[in-house]
This record gives sequence, structure tokens and C-alpha cells, in this order.
Amino acid sequence: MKIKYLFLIGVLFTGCKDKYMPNLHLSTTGYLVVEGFINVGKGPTHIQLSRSTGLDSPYYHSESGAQIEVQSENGASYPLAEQAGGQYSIDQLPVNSAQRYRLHIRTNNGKDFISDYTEIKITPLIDTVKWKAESDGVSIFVSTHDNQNKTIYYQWQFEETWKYTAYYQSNYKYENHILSLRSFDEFIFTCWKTDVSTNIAIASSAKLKSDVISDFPLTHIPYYTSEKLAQEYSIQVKQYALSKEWYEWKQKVKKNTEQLGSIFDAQPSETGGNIHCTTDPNEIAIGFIGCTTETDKRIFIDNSELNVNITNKDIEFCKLDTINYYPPDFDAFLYNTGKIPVNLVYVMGVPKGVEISFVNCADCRAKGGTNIKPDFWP
Amino acid sequence: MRQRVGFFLLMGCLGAFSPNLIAQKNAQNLISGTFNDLTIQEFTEEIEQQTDYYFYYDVTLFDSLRITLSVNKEALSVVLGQAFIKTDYNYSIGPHNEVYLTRLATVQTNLTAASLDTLKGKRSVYNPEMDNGPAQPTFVQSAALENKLYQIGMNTSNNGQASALISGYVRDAKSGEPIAGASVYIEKPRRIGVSTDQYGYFAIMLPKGRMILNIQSIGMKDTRRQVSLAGDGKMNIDLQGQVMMLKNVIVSAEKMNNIRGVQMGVQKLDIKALKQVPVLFGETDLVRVLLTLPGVKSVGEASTGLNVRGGAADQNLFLFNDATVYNPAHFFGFFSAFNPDVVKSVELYKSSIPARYGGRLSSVVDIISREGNKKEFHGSAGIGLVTSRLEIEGPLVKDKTSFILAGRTTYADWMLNLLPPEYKLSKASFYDINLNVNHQINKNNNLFLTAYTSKDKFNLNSDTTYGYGNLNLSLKWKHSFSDKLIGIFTTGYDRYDYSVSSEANPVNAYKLAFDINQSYLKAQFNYFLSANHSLEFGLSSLYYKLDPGNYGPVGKLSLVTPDTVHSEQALESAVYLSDKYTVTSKFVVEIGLRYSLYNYLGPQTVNEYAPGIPKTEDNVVAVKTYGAGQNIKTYGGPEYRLSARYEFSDNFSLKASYNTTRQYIQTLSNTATIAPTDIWKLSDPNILPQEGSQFSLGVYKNLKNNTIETSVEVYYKQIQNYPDYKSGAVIVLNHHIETELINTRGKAYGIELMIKKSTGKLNGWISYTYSRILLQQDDPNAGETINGGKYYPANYDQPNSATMVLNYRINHRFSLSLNSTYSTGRPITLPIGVYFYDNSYRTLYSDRNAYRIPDYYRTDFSMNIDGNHKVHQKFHNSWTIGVYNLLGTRNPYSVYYISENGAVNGYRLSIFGSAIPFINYNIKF
Repeated sequence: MKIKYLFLIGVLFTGCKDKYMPNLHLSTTGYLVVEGFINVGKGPTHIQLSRSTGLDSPYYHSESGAQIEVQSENGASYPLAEQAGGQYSIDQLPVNSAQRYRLHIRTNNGKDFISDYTEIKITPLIDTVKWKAESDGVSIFVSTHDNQNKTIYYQWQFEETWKYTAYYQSNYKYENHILSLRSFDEFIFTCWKTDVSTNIAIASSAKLKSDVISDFPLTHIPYYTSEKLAQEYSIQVKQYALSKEWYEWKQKVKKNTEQLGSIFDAQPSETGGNIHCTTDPNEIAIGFIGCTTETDKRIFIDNSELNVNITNKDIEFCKLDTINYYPPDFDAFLYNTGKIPVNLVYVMGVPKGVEISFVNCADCRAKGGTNIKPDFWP
Repeated sequence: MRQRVGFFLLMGCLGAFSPNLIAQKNAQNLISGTFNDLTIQEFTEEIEQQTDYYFYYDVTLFDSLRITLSVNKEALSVVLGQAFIKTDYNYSIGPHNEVYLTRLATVQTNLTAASLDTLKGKRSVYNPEMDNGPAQPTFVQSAALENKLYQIGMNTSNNGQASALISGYVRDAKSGEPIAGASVYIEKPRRIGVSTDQYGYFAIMLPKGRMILNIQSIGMKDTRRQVSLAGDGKMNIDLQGQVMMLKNVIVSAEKMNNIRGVQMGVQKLDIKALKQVPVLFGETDLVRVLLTLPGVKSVGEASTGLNVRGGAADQNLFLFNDATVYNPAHFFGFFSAFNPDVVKSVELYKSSIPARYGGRLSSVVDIISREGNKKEFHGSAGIGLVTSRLEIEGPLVKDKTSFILAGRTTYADWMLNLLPPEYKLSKASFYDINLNVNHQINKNNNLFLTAYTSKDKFNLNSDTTYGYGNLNLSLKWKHSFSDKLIGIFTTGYDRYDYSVSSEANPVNAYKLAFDINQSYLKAQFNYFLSANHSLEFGLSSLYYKLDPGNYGPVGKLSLVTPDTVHSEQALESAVYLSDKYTVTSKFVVEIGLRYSLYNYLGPQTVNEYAPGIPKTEDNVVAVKTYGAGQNIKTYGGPEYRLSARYEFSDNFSLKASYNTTRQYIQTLSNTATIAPTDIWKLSDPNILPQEGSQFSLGVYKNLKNNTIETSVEVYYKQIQNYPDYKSGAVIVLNHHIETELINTRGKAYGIELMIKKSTGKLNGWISYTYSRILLQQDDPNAGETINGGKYYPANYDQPNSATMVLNYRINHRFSLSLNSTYSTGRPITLPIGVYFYDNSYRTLYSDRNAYRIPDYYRTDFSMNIDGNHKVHQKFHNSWTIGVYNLLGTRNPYSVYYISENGAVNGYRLSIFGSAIPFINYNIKF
């Protein structure tokens, strides 16, 4: 058939998406960015202050020296204490559920910002966090509901933690020019690493008959391009009830920053929020401060529950070198070489050699995790 | 005066006296001389003087014949043969040199067999009325002969008028289809011309007396008729197709029309011109070709939304045989909704819009379909990479009723592999079907039925399925009240609907549907008042019913609550009158006035907002409920359509026009392109109708014997109440959409230059446009100002653009086409900074449309290869082979920044990243 032949011609070409960073001459904006929520349940309230930066050189520009207090409608106020890195906290707000609350910020340059009073939302419990093995990875879903049909707008954040190992188990350490056996605490074979969600996950049941969120997809973990599922994986999902305005603002931020690039894009729009500068109406602040509570749920997935064997990719470049057990040489091989000792080679009970390998292959911490088992880990 | 009355009666059936058989050789009776415009008497007297022949004939039968001839020592048979060539006059020479001149078409076939082969079929149908000649001005002459003098109107009917009206139809001699846009004109005593309308009809007021009427049309042999005009009368003209079509690849139907037409900013393309421009996947696409014209732009490759002179995509009225097509695109806009097999021609009005059109601000795209062959069955089929087409046409009743049926479908999921990887798993399909039937009841009454339906279905790499469809039905009755008054009555129904559904999660499974329905009645009259005044008037009424959103569950498990935005009704009516007034032959004005009236009707619930403060849900002061049919709000006003032309010489003219327009229905979309899911919204008490006005001026000069046309047009345009959106507007299923909209005002201006060569081996056009469209929203009461109330460029503001379309005909079977386009990148909103929120760096936006994507440049190339041109073979085939985006330019469709894994990345999205070859095989039978 001629048509078949014609098809072949057609498949030679593709559309494309190229990385592109135009050279824009932009001034740094330096708008105040306020992140967090007024925790009207049990637990601390954390507010994070930062400044926006230039597009060409994004960095976390934390704002220190501000005075922050949570104010209630009846005039009570509760100051937050400044922590490191622009964080301001209070361990527990004494909450009166008949009140509405807002945030007052005075920055160190003397400008006052106030958030709008918002309604208090109480977050229902998470019903389930489910996972489903798919052909290329595992998807995580969350379900919840509110019998009183009052929540409607939801946001989730999650923390993923996974256990992984180095390629070689290092039983020895070389410190202060001394080669010694590692103690139990010092083993660097097994590590745990934690990532936080970077996308805004929101959903609404406004169009449903009852306040039910069924299997909202939170994330997808690929089998082969990450090592999260190689051993044991855990995800803690945190759920927040949002007010309608809060939800709409989050949706706008999501559209502006995560959902561009389609053929039918919406126009990006100004971000704003519910925080206003009272001393200078032209001063822009970004962020939405609402009052809510947090509920959470954690699940574990063991590699044995999956029908996939995820090979450690380190196999491709990790190898062991053996050096002579000759301490005067140890500095040359182990000091600032990026290699560490793994094991001793004994010949008839006498150490004759030292197996050494790259830090990346023998120290799990090199990939950013910690060898301290988290408290929640079984 | 000798009278030889009566003799010809004997010769009534002297078929055997064929002059070829007689072929008398008489050396003494040879004829020489130059005869210039002689009557039969002068001619025969001359021959009688030179020879001993003696002529017998009825002089009244020959009164319309004029003989121009130059001979040197020729036999009488040769001389008469030449004198009567292409006429229905006959002669026979008796044994005693008596010559009988007769006029009997039935016995003439062998005389003209060699020269007029193609006329044979028609001439076998003998019209007995013809012999009644000029005595009966009411019959319609089928004027097929160039040398014959046609008598129109009664010699005796001298009513004191200096001019009279000739009207009739120009048709294709072979298929009987009307030829639209054919020029009918005289050069002397002064140039007067008209062009035929879409039914092939013309009416031209000419000074009485003798003249040569010229008829020209694309793809047809130029022809002329000698006319002796004594009074009003009819004359139909059949044109012979140019078998070697490539000889006359003219882009515009009428030579010099650019100089002579009163209207400016009109572009007319017929299907042959459309077919030459290389387009994506080789499928002729009229919207793509319109995009090569100056002043017409689109925001990108995946869009058939046109932006005409700074107008938004919803400000164009797409009419397909009077039916409004709301979504003129298939397949993300890669194809337009119009099947090239059915399209006859398309006209784009971008500055002076005739008074008969209304309802959209920027332009009218009037697409006329073919009527189908009235004589025999034909068809065509095409196979391309993406679509296949089939078309059949033919007579239902020969010469009276014909139909054309055509369909297209696609098999092109593979094509989505061309899209960026995000769309790789997408699916898309479409089809469309056209049916046109036309019936000639009698010479004064014609009926036209048009039916069109299309469906599109696609999903973009997700479980969400989108679908949309057009449905159009129209019935038109054309009635000639008299030679001077023609009425066209149209009724029809248009529908556009779309739906979005997702069934992947049974709890959330939903379907969202939307539709527009409109029914209309139109009456249009053309009245040829006098040689100087040609009137057009009419009225129309259009009833809208929109369902702006209907959301409901799918399946038993779905918890989706049904949500329906109340349907909307409105009536849009208009009356109009325009007069084309020929002040002098050089100065012509067209004065049009249209009055449009719009009623927003119940049942409806309307929110009333406190005046002077932003429209928000909190500011609703009253909710009013109206019953069915109750008038809620009336808008309306006059629309002026003025244009004038002054012709300095035959090839140089100046034109000016002023236009105002009103639009009562608009799309609500905050995407830059026409998205298939755009909602249409009627104007209501809270959403004002859009108003526009445009002033334009143009200079037209033709060079080299009218083969090269040049033009310069400038325009300035103002738009009121153009809806723009508040930041982060939610449009779908919004029960109070007015709270998301802000009225902006717009101004657009530009200059358009064009050079066009329409004949010769090398033809095509080059155009350059400089244009701006700026919007402004500075009313603080609206809730927010945009860009601080300053003017900002609209999404589709592309200041510089240039287009070149070139065709080169190597021989009759092989031609090459090249098409190049350049334009400034469209404006986009780029981030001004970055902030960290929800564990990710995120971009910060401020001023709208402050930056531009990189410039757009594309070159396409195609070859048309025709099979042989033998007229009588059953199948004609042709190939179109070409490359879209020949240079493989990665033209950015958009530039955007997105937060991925906590960081901000910038991307440039191109729809096509490389050259795209295509091949199409077409067959006609």
C-alpha cells in the first residue's frame, strides 16, 4: 500500500521543547514573601520570611530581624520568636475557635504588613494513602472525606524518606592518620534520605455531591531513574484544609509556575496574596496566611512488595582497589583522595592489604542522606 | 434597398447543400478586399460588384451581423466561411451563382466542427426562441458566439433613457456551474464593469448602442460579446474552461479589480489560487492562505484563529454559504474546517465591510462553496499523510438540479508524535461532511441547500477527552423580481458544541458540555436603480440560544454534582441599506448604513452590582429574575459603512473607507489562541457589546499592463469594550462571569504594502505589514488596572511581518511554489523575579506582555505535478509534494518558565522542530 510508505516519511520529524533563558534585564524585586499558616490545632506555628530575587540568580534570601505576631479579632496578640534562616515560631497558639486570626509583621526596615482575617478551617483526617505499582513506577494516592461537608478545599504536602545503602560496606575509618574499626554508630553503609514535595498539590470537592476526595494522585516514583524504591520507602502525607480564597490563590500560583508550556496556555498573572503593607500601599507582599490544622499519615513500601529488582547503578563505576597494609603510605592513598577504607585483607591472620574505594561507593552519606535512622523508621 | 423576403423559407432544411460539398472553383469569381464592420447589405453589394454572384436573404435576420474581413483572391465559399465563422449563419451556392444566406443553427455543425469542437454539445440544443430574435426582449439569450452581434432589448422601446440594463448568468459551459467573480465590462465608450456574484449573476447598466462586452474569469478563456443594446434585457454567457489551466494562474479573479473596486481591504481568492500555496501536510487550507495576506496574522502554528488588523480571533465572522462557523479549525488548528473540494472561493473583508454583514468587529471571511456539476457526474479523491477526501457531484435533474457531497477524515494519531513529548500519548481525529444541493425552479427562482457537519475528538496526553462539532444547515431562495430587483431569502440553523469528559477516576467522572445554537432569517435585495445607483438593502434576524456550561456525572459511582450555568437567549436583528453611487466614472462612493438591534432575553437571572465599584460577588445589590421571552436589555445603534474610490487613471486609484461595527457575542478565553474549549458569551446587562471603528486609506497602482498590482493601505482602528480578564480568572462554569472580566479599550493602526503579479510563468505576491494593537484598562472602578493603566500590547501584536508567495510554472504539468513568512514574535508575559514557596522556587509576574518571543520565520516549498492534460480521459491525477518549514527553523510558539523539582527552568516551545515533508495524491473523475 502506498499509504504505508507515506507514513514512513512522516515519522522523521519531531516538535520540540528547548531550554531557553533569554537575557532579560531585570531589577531584583525584593518583595516580602510570607509562607506558613496559623496553626489553630495542636502543634507549632512556623512562619517563614524571605525576599524575592532576580530571575537570573535565584537564591533563598531569608528575611531576619522582623517582628511577627498573630493577632486575634478581640485584640489578643501572640509574638513569634525568630529562629535561624528567616523562620519565626511559636510552639502552641492558645486558640479560641470563636475568633479569627491574622498575622502582623514589622520588617526590620520598619514596614508593617497585615494579612486578612480568614475563617478557621479544621482539617479532617486522611482516610488512606494508597500506592499502586504501575509499569514504570509506583503512584501514591490520597483519599479523605468530611462528613460535615465543610472542608471542600484541600492541600497536601508530603515528605518522602527512603532507605538505601552504599555499594560497599566500609568497616574501617581512617581518621587522624589512624585506621580503625568503625563503631556501630559510625557505620555508613545504610542511610535514609528525605525529600519534600515541591509541587502544589491541591484539590477541591466543590463540584461533588459530598465532600470526598477519592484517590487524588500525589506523586509518581519511577523505578529506574531514582533509588527511592530500591530498599524501603516511606511517605508521610500532610493534609491541610484551605479556605476558598486560599485555595484559589494556591491554584493561581500553581497555574503560574507549574502549568505553563501547553499549546493553550493561560496568561500568567500577578501573584499577590492576602498580605498588605499598611505603611506603603505600593509595597508588594507575596503569600497567603490562613488558619488551619494539620493531619498526617505515613505509609511504608518495602521493595519486596514490588515485583521489581532495582539494581544499584553504582555497579557501573564502583570498584575496590587494594593497597598494601603499610601505614606510612595510608596518607597518600586515603588523605584527600576522595577514597576511604572498606575492609582489611588478611593473609593467614595478618593484615596484608587495605581495600579502598570512592566515598560515593562506600559512604552512603555522600548522596545526601544520613546514617542516623529516623525515629519513625521501624 | 433590395428585399429578398421569403426565399430563405425554402432553404429551411438545406442540410445537403453543405458548402464544403459544393466548393465551386470559379477563377473569374474570386473576391479581394478589406471589409470593415460592414452590414450584410454593404457586404453583399461589395461581392456582387466584384463577381456575378447574386444574394438572396432576409435582411432582418442579418441585422445584427457585422463583417470584418480581409481577403485576397479567394473563392466565395472561403469568404463566406470566414465571414460566418462562429455564427449560425449558413449559405449555399446554387448552380447559377445564386447564393442563399440563411440562419439555421441546426445545419451548421459541420461548418464549425473543426473550430468549435467544444461547443458541439450545447449547440445541439436548439433554442427556438432564438430565432424570434430581438423582437422578444424577455427571453434569455444564450450568447455563445463572439462574432455575432446580440440584440438586447427592443429597438422600439425607446423610453428616453440613455442606458439600459443587461443581466444574466455567467456559467461554466461544461459543468453548468455558475462562475462567481467573473468580470463583465465594456472598455468603450468608457469603462463600465461589474463582477458576477456568487450565483454567477450580473447586472450591468450600460449606455444604449453597440459595444463589446468583455467577460473574464480565472481559469476560463477570456471572451467577448458584441452587443447592441436597445433596452433592458437578459443574456447568459457560458465560458469555456481553459484546458491548460496553468496558463492563467491568476490570484485575484478580476484584473484591475483592485483599482476599480470601491471596497478596500478586500481579498478574494479562488480555489485555484488557494491550491497553489504550499501548506502543512499538503492539504489545501484556505485559512492558511489567508494568513499570507497583509494584515492577517495568527499567534502561532497550532492556531487557525485569525487576527485581522489587530482584531481578536473571535472578531472574525466565518460564513460558509451564509452559515456561521464558530470553530473554523480541526485538529488543534492544523487544518481549517473547510474542505477544499467544496470551496469555490473565499473573500476576506478587513476594512470596508459591506453593510449586509454584521455582528463581528474585525473582518468577514465569506466562503462560497461550489454547486456541483449540472451536466454530468464527477468526483475527486485525495490521499494525504494525514487526511483523505472524497467528493462526488452531479446533476439530479440535468441542467436544473445538482448536488455536491464531500467528506474528509483523518487517520493521524501518529502526527501527534510531532508534537512536544508532553503530547506523545495524545489521540486526535476529525471528520467533516458537506452536502450542497441547488435547484433551478425556473429562470427567476433558484433554491440552494447547504449542509455541513464536523466533529473533532482529542485528548492531550491525559484521560480527559475533548470533543467539538459544528453543524450548519441553510436554505436559500433566490428570486428575480425583475431584471433590476433581485431578492435572496435565507433561513438556517447553526450549532457549535463542545464537551470535555474524564472517566478515569469513577468517583470524579464527569462530562462538561457547552453549545451555541442560532437560527436566522435574512432577506437581501439588490436593486439596480440606474446606471449611477446600485442599491442593496435587507434585514436579518438571528436568535441565539447558548448553553454556557452543563456539568454532570458519568457512571453510577460518580459523586459529581450536576451544575448548569443558565442558558442564555438573545435576538440580534439588523436592517441595512447601501447605495453604490457612481458620481462620475472616476469617482464612486458606496454609502452603507446598518442598524443593529440586540435584545437579551429571558428566562434569566441577572445580578445587579453597585455602580462605581468593582463587580465582585460581594457587591451584588440585587438579583433579578426574568421570565421566558422577557426583554432584559436592549443594545443597538447605527453602523456606518462608507467607502469611496477615485480613479486617476486606468491603473491608478485612491480609496478611503470608514466603518463602524458592533459585536454582541464574544469568546471568553484567557489563552492567546483559540482553544477548542473557549466559551462564547452573549452581551448582557453586565457585559457591554464591543464596538469598533476603522478608518482606512489606500493607494492602488497597476503596472505593466495591469499584470502587476501594487497597493499601500493604512488604517486606524478603535475598539471599545474588548473583554480582558482579571488575573487568575476562572471562566468555566462561572455563574457570575462578569466578575472576572474587565473592559478594555484598544487601538490598532498599521500600514500594509503589497505587490502582486497575477499572470505569467512567475506569479505570486509579496506583502509587508507594520501594525500595532494596544489595549488599555485604566478604570480603577473595574477592580484592577492592567499594567498600571498604561497601553499594553495585545497577545497577538506582531509589529513587523512580511510574506512572499511565489509560483513558477515550468510547463503545463509541473509548477513550483515557495512561501516565506516572517513576523515579529508575539508578546508574552515573562517573570520579573523568583520567590520560594511551597518548597520550590517560583516565578513572579508583573506587567502583562512586556516581552516578546523570538521572531518567527518559515519557508515552505511545494511542487505540483499534474498527470497529462488529455481532455477526454476518464481520470485526471495530480501529485503535490513539498516540504513545510523547509529550513527546519525552530520557531518558538511560546517561551515559558516553570518550576520543576524545586527549581525554575525556562523553555522555548516549538510546535515543529524540523522540516516536514508531505505528499498528496489527488484524482479527479
